[in-house]
Order: sequence, then C-alpha cells, then structure tokens
Amino acid sequence: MAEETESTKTEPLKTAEEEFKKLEITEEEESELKLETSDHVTFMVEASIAMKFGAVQQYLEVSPAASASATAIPLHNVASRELILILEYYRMHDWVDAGERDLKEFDERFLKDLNYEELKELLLAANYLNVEKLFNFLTKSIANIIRNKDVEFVRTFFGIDNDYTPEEEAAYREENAWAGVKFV
Amino acid sequence: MAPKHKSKRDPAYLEPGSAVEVSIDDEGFCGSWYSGTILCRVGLDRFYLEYNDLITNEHSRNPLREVVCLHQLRPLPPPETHREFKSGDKVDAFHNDGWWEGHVTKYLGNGRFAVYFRISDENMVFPKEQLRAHCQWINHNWVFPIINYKVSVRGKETDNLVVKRQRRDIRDMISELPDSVLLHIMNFMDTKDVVRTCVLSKRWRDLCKCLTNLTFWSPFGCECKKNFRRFVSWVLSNRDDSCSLLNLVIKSWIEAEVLDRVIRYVMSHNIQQLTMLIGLSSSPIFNSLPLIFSCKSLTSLKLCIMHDSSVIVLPKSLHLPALKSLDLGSVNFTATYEDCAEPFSNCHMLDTLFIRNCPLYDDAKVLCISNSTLSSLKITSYNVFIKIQAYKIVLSTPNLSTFTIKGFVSHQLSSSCKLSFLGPVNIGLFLVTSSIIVRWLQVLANVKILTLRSDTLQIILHDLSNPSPMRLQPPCFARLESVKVKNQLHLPDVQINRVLEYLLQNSPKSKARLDIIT
Repeated sequence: MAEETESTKTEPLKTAEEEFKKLEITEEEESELKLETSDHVTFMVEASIAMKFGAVQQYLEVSPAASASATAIPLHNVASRELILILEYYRMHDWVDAGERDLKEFDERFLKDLNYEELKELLLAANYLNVEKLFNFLTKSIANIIRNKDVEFVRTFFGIDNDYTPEEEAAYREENAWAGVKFV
Repeated sequence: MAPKHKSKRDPAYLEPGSAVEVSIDDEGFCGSWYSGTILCRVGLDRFYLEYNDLITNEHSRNPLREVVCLHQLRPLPPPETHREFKSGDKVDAFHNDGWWEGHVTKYLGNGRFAVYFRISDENMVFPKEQLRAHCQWINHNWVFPIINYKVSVRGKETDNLVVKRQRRDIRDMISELPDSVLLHIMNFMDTKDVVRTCVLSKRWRDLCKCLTNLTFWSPFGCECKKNFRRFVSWVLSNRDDSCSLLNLVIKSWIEAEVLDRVIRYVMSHNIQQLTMLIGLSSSPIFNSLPLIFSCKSLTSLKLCIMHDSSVIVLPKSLHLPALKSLDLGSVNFTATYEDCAEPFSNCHMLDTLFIRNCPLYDDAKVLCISNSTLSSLKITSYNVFIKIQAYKIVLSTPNLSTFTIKGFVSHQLSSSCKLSFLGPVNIGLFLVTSSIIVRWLQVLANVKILTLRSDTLQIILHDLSNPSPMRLQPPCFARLESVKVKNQLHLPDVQINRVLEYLLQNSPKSKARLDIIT
C-alpha cells in the first residue's frame, strides 16, 4: 500500500520532467527542419521558412513526429539545385530589415540569374512545394516573358508539340485575326 | 627510363593537365560525353580526372573527381566550324553538362534546331551554339559521319537502351504542367495575348477558354470599336461556362450594348472582382446596371466613368452583401430619402470605400456614409472640368480607422458618431477656405496620426496673416501622437510651426512628434 502511494506520487513528477525535457528538445529542434531533396541532399532549414512550404505543412500534418525527430522530410520532386534557390528567395523575403526597394532589386536579380530552363524547373518545384509567394512571382514573370512573343517561341518555351494540321492552324490564325490580335 | 617509356606509350591527351572528354558507363549516361581534365594516372589503364561541369553534389558544388578507364577517354574534338546543320544531320547537343548524340529533325528559325534523341525517344530544341557535328574517335583519328540519313521521328522501335535521366524527366513534365499552373500564368496576361495562345496546340485551344481573369483593354481614344466588340464577343461566346469567372477588368471606350452584354455575362457567372474604367460615347439606358448593385458574389467593385460624370446614377441603396472594397468615380448618388443619399448602409462587409468626383444627383444635398464595418475612407476631387456642387457629408461610421481627403472639396463634414478608432488621417485640401479645413479637423479630432500637405497649411497660414476676430477654434486633438507635413512647397520651418501652433493650441501639450517630409 505504502509502495503504491509512493509510486503514484513520483509518477506525475516524472512525467512532468519528461514533458519538460521533450519540450526542451522540441523547442531546440523546432527552429530547424531536415529536408531531403530528390537527389538525396539533406538541408537543415529554419522552421519559420520550411513551414511556408505547403508540402512540408502537409507532411507534418500526416506525420507530426517528423518535426521533432531526426528523420528528413522527403521532397520527391525538388532537386537540391532548386531548393537552394527557393531558400535564397525566402530568406530574403523573410528578412525583417528588407525594404520594398531591396526586395524589388533582389527579385530582378534573382530572375536575371535564371535561364528559361531553370525558371521552368523552379516553377515546377514551387508548384510541388506549394509556396505561394514564389509561385506567383514565377508565374507572373513567365507571363511577362511570353507576352508579345511569337507562337514558335512560346511553343519552344513550354515544349509544346504542335498537333494541328497546317490547315487547322491557319484557320485558327484567321479566326483570331480580329481586334488587332497579331501573329508574328 | 620509366618516364620516357611512359611518354612513348601515352598519347599527349592523356598527360596530366590535358583536356579530355569522358563517356560515363553508368546507366542513363549512354551516348553522352563530358569534358574533364586529367589529374594523374592511377594504374595501367586508369586515370584520375576532374570533370569541368559535373559536381559532387549540388550542395558543395565541388567539381566531381573520378577514376575512369582508358576506353572511356578521348581528346577534345576539333573546334566546331561547321554550323550549317540540316535536318538529318548527326549532332551532339549540349545538355545537362554533357554532349548527347542525336539528330537534327527540323530547323525552327532564329538559329534553333529541333533535335531527336533516339536513345530516349525524345525531342528537344537547341540553339546552334549548343550543337556540334557528331564525330567519333577511331584509331587515334576523328571520324565524321559521311552520309546524312533520314531518321524516323517518333518511330516506335522499343530500344532496350532507353533509359531515363533525372533531369530529362523534369523537362518532360514541363509540357505536362497541370492546366492550373498554365492558367495561373495566363491569368497574369492581357486577355488578347491569351487568346493568341489557342493556336499553339489543341490542348491550348481549350485552355484559354477556362480563364478566371479577363481583361478587356483597348487604348482610350483608339477608334477600334468594331474590333473591340468582336473581341469581347468571341471571348464571351467561346468561354467554357463551367469555369468560374473571378475577376474582370474593362478599360476602354465601350458601346452601351457591349457593356450590357458583359455585365449580364459576369453577373450570371458569380463574378467576385469587377473593375470598369469605361468611357461611354452616348448616354445609354442600362437594363443591366442594377444587376451590378445587387450582386451577391461581388467582393470588390471599381466603377469609374471617364470624361463625363452625368451618365450613371447609382440606385438609392447598394445591396452588395459580400462587398469589401468599393471604388466609385464620376457616378451620381441619388437621394434615398428626402434630400439625403445613403447608398452604403446595406453593404454589411464593406471595409474600404473610395469616392472620387462623385456629385449628388437631382436635388439631393446630403451624402450620408453610414456603415458599421467601414474602416478606410478616401474622398478625392481633382476634376477641374466638372464643377461639383458642394454638399454635406455625414459620417456614421463607428469603426473608421483611416481617412483621406484630397483635392478641392468644399463639402462640409459632420459625424453622427465619435470616430474613436481613428488612426491616420491624411488631408490634402487646396483651393478651399481655411474655415472649411478647420471644420473638417473638428470632426476628425480623434486622429492619431495627422498628415497635412503643405498647400493645405499655406491656406491656413494665409488666413492667419489676416487679422480676423472671428477665427474658428481648432479642436482638442486628445489622441494625437504624430503630425506629418508633406512639404512639397518647401515652406520654411517657421511658417509650418506657426500653423501647427495655431492648430494644436487647444490640444494637451503633448509629445506629438513632428515629421516634415519633402
């Protein structure tokens, strides 16, 4: 009987201690999350940034243990090359001291450094990761790139196979030749 | 003796420091060549080398070093001079840091070529700078292909060697981008540009019919009414009706019938954001206009009539239950009861209201802005051509936090509530009397951050220099934290201080900060 009471007394104390320890650990670990890209490179990423990725949020919803454990969160459709760029973008946009002009300059340079292939691959990664801000920035930039470009350029850009017969294509060009819609 | 023997046996391109090309035996690299530099020999027929373009991993970006066999090595091919590729030519195309063997299938213009890779059954496009004639290193000699032979593109011969490389897989997905991503891109484009994309391919033909944002834009003053009408008509009649329409922008001169059709269309498609900056050549009779002002889905409405403010008269009351943002330009408010117009009291979600150059219609004399959710209000009047009769504005907006008044508005302001949540107030009045400004400030006495333009200050300053015993008393600004002066006129500090001294004479000797912005 006496033994029993003793054990029940120490029990809550023990659990509280464990809880505290757990809390300490999660607090430490929470500041960084481990992400693994498709080419098997692991990144330690600030939780504040990683949690902006819809894919990471979703993963943690399904398996919440991953935030505290040492297991990496797999990003199947993102290569390390793209993740580096995405992190660069978000670190800048997350930076408290960045003014509007800084961000504008950063965005311009960020875009300038990408060739079309990289831009598209980054778009795919952003789409997969579900990162809204970067996704909007990239789609808007691509809209600006293909604006006023000729049909062949846009086909090449998106890797479109023209499955029209020449007659069909001519008919469509004819149909839309109104309203100053020009085809170069 | 040994070095001599070695140099005799080794061709020059195997000496340390020599540039070579390497074929990688691994699966997925078949038929490709990578450039590298020999570091040293590590066995009878093995060499340690560093790749120029391959890296150990993307994280460290160190160049990849590896031991390769003699049979994988060859010297650099002779520099490329032959640039006139024809379809059928055997070429190496530079892709993913290496040269891949393929065939030119088509010249696309602008120095770009379609190249077909038999090994992976893929077509890709390359600029000519990324192509070179395919050649082989046979018996210590470069052998170029002699015969151009036709290749069957998309010939479905199954090849055991077909292997997928990771980068290529990603590239394949680009044409497989989900419609939602492509539509997202297209929604940033002018609708005219989007309509052009329907000639790209069959998939794109249908894609542009699912746009959720439409922009009908034509430059003002451009005489292309007929084309504009056809354009609008084509888009509306070809649109996939099952796709919701979220956002529509019209910026154009527009014929009344066309506008009528657009409005009927968007109203029947649960439009959320509607922007109309329109010029109307004739005073139309709108059958559809009342529809806008009772639209249940609308969250944002901007309606500005260009050049003529006598065309549109709003209904007595707007019934827009989801509306958060309203921007009205050059439309007329009509009396709801007696001589008072009270159009906003039934917009139960309204947050932001912007009224520019809006006169009162007929014999209305009071505009009552009565709304319990409104937090931001802006009133401007800059139009010198249309004389707007001064009227009375009554605020009944208990949650108002931001207020801006600009232009030459001689309206009188009063309030039926305390405006106790007022934060920033921005006043840029000119061509009005000093007493009007002071009366506005009396109503807005609960302001926290007051921004004044220097031309507004100048009016008060001018008034102060005339001796007048009947001068209005400014209010007590009990909550004032900061005063900002936008000093475009470069008034001297002495003058600014004189005006502020007058304006703040009844306020607690506070620590209200003064910022002068030039």
